[in-house]
Amino acid sequence: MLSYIVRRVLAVVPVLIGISFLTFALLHVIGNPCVALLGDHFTPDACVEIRLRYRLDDPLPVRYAHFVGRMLHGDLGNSITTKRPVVAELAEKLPATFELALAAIVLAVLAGIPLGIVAAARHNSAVDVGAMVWAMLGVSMPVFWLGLMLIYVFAFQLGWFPSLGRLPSGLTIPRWSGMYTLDALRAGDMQAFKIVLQHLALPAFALSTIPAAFIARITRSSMLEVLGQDYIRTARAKGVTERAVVARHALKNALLPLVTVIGLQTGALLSGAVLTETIFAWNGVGRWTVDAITGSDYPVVQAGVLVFAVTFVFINLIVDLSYVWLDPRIRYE
Amino acid sequence: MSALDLALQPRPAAARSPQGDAMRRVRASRLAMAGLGIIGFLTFCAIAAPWISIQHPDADGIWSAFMRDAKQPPSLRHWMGTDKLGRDLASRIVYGARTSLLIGVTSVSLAIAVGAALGAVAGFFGRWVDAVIMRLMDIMLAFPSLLLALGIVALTGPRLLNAMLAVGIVSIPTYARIVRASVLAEVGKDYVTASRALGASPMRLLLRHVMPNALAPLIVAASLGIGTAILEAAGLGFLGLGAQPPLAEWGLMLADNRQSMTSFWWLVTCPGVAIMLTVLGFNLLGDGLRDVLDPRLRGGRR
Repeated sequence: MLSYIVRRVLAVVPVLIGISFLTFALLHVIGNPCVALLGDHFTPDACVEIRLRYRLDDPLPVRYAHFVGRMLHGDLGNSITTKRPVVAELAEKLPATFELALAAIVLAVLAGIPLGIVAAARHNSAVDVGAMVWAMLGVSMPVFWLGLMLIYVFAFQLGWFPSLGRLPSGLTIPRWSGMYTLDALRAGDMQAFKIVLQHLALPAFALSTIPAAFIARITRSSMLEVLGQDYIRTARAKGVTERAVVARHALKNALLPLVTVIGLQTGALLSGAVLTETIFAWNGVGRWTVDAITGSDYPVVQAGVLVFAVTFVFINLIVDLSYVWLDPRIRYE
Repeated sequence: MSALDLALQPRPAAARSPQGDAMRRVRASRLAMAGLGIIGFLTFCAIAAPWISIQHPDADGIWSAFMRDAKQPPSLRHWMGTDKLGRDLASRIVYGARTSLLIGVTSVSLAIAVGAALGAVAGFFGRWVDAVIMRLMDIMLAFPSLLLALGIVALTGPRLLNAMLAVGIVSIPTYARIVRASVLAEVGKDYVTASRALGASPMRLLLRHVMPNALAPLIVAASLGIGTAILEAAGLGFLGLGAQPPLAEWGLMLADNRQSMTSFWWLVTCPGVAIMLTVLGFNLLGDGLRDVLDPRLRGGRR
């Protein structure tokens, strides 16, 4: 088992190298780095300086080695628009994205799993059909449109939630983790905590819809499969109540495929975060990356793409490793 | 209709061929037929756009008496109202079906062509060729798809063609995996060895023996893939990184009308519903086809 864990962790290394290579290639092979790095400030003189500073006249492998070397030292260059180090900006935006993504995945699990269980337990009932129609619509819905509709109904018409941003202007919370919910709790400021949650509600709900729909569908089909097995029939035959059959006998075995789905959905969630953050003016990595693309701020684009890809790789790693504990039936030689 | 019902039905002699059999099961699948219905309706809209819309999608009201046509609520003449430039929204939605179907079909065709070639090469040659290609595919899969597409568009510039390419490129690994799996599954079998012993070229093996087996999963993946491609391209359009104004594209229309949302709700509702309906059509078809064509998954649904 230990050797499996070691091998699985080591398998991440080539993928990480590949990611670094692809982000490098995006700029240096496909694009013109001089134009990309200088943006609107492009002049032939500035280009000469850039070529010297980034050693752009070296052969590609040497340039790649320099790129990786700088990256390992935590140097992702400076933003063209703000002139500040990209890493410093990243540290400010990353907690906002994690907070939003975490809230969304929790919501998706809390909504999707019970819905899938009920749909499977009452197979072919009105609840089942309703849940699956909803799930089908959920996976087909553009997240940016859902976000706009939520803003229209809950912010403009009903006025229950604020429509934009993470905090109202004027309110500050002592910074600790950068996730405002945690920071507000740590400061013991319940009033601020409530305001933070109100701001988080709509974007988290929008972002959770598609994963929730996927999770509901997989929970249902996985439950149906388990409910058809012999040991379930035995449990029913010896008089176990239907509730206990579903909750205690079936659920445990049905949940396993869900771990994979939740892991994969986190990738979709990261894609969705880009759009959700843009709509709700959420000051996170996704919106930062999109703004950088429209502003041709290439170092920032590179950092944004890199961060999302690396996050996704590590989530998949955690999912794979979690099987070792979750399913003792799987043998790892 | 369950598998048992189907098995008990008398079989007409003409439907004995595998293709005829599959077609009959597709027709019996309500999911697939609902999806086909939606897609058929959209295709009709896309082809007949010039005849069923009341205006050219770019015809605006700027010169018509101080924009009095702008931002009109839905009416008998303008079913879905008009936008801030006085353009008839219904006409633009109908023309948008053209753009979206074009995006979906083009990008998925590109992905299948490249993906199938890569998968076949990886499967046939094995060893280091296989390792290099499939690791490359793994790395592409490590990027959340929209992010990779964003990266590609960032470099190639925000244009519809680039968005289509980007959306196509990010889905190449899916098709490469399917074809490679089919190659590996078939190549070891006796009938393929026999065919090879008779002197069949790798190309012939691929087209005669491997592709027919890869076809069912490819069709399912393509149907679901077109839905995803349309969704992603609309997302790129919404971010201003795909289709550019004044093209009638649903994601772009959402972004354009966003500012007027508070008082003119229909401007944002209609394009969104159009995207959802289209994607729903392809998802329904894909799900229905998977139930019908993929015997391994058939047991899962009861």
